[in-house]
Amino acid sequence: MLGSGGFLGKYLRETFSDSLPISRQTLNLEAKGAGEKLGELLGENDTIFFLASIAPDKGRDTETFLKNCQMGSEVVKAMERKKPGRMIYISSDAVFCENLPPLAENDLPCPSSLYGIMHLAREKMLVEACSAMGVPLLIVRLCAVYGPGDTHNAYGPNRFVRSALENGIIDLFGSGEERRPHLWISDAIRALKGFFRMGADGIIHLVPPSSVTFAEIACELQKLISGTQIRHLPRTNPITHKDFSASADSRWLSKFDFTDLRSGLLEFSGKMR
Amino acid sequence: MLKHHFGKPLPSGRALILGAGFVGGEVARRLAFKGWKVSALRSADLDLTTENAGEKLAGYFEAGDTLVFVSAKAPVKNPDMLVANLRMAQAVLQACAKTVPAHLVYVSSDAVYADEPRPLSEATPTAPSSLHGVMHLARELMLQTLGNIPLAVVRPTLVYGEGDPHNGYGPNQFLRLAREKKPIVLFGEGEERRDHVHVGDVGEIIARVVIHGSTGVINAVSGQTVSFREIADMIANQYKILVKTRPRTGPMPHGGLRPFDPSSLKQSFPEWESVLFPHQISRVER
Repeated sequence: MLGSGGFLGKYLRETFSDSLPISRQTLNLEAKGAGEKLGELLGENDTIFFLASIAPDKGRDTETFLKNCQMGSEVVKAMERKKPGRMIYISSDAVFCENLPPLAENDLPCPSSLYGIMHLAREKMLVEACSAMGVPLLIVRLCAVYGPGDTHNAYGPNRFVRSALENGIIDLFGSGEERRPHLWISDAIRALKGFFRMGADGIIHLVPPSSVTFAEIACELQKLISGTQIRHLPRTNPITHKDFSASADSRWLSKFDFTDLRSGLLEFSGKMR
Repeated sequence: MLKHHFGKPLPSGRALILGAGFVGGEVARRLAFKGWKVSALRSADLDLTTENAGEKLAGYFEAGDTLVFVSAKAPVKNPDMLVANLRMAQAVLQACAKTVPAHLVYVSSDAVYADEPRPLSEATPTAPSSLHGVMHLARELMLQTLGNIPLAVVRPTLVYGEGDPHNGYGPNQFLRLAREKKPIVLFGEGEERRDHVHVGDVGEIIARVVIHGSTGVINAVSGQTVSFREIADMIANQYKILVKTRPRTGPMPHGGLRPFDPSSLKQSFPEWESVLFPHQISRVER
């Protein structure tokens, strides 16, 4: 499990307790030669969960982008050293730009950020390597995930819940009109566990059925955390939206029961109190 | 469409071309002809993938110069090549932070576009389907982080002409075979239609972007699609060689058609006339 020290990784480690956790402290995948070392750690036919990346909150600059690409390259080198049984890559919905019609798995990625093109670059690296080596590949494009233990504190449920509980305030840019999908951490882990057990492959958009505005999230939290005030800050970016259509690859998500926003926020805020 | 900082072209200036090969060399010649002082760097002069390359590069130009970034290890075939190409862009960024150019021109590729049923234009969303396309789009996004430096991005489609280093399937390879009196071998019936642009046209477009101080994105295309069969037949007739076919091993690339809309090029440079087929092929012979 590459990236076991991150938000998602910590949860996944509990679910896959017999996995070999590899965090930055264990092996720095940005370092030259990391691929060789990783290859030595791999067992024949292991499944690789590739979650490791430097998220935008740790750096949006080109150096961070390069480090993330280097990690992808090192993972491919490790695969060449020891062929895995399967590769599961955790990508991001950032491979798509905003303001497009509802997105499906067969839509072409059109990233507009370095973070988005980094994930697309890694996807392409892995598609080519896995295809050449005959390794089954699952690419899971995740939207923003919220829940206790989040390390990014990104604008949205994670920041809102913390801020509401600590300061009684939720800051919204403008009126919080932007629509985005937000996934409850337990849903993310449950779905990933399911994909693993089912032997899913291809590309899956792991996103809830509908996007919500940041204002809707703030209003829900206002109801759940009494005394919370919503403050409107001047907008620094234009209003953009991101919507997804029902998963085209319904084999894997057709029966999945997503937690609704209110229930997710209720559980989240309850655990954070 | 491009936005020209100088309505009338600057009669002189100073430019550094990174990558003095097939396209870069042509740009250098065109700019020199227009009265510009041009210097060019090859990878033998400075390997942009090495450590401290950015710092060294900053010493090769002066603040206020124009930088034309053509260098690439192409086509990108593996993750190592991708990362190496991105490191080159990082070196350019580092150099620009140290010595600020007046204008930066990046020579990208049409590989940043996926295939579309309609002719591709600068307004087509960038959705690369190959590592090579990802590399160019990533570099474009990297260079955009230099918000203080006017940036132009030129995206050429298939470039052909004397001195091509890739010998890609198409005019370049066909002419080489013809000169060696060898048969041209087409995939399938060579029916897929593509836009082929002469290196002279690409060099001239880039040179005009430089002398106008243009910013924005422009596709360097001819605006005409020609089948590989038509190109092969023309060359074969000229050189009296055979054209053979071989069965395709996979699907027809780009679904058999990848046209471009050249409107933006014509709006940006109203007097622009691409050299079209069949005349374009004969230009290689000059």
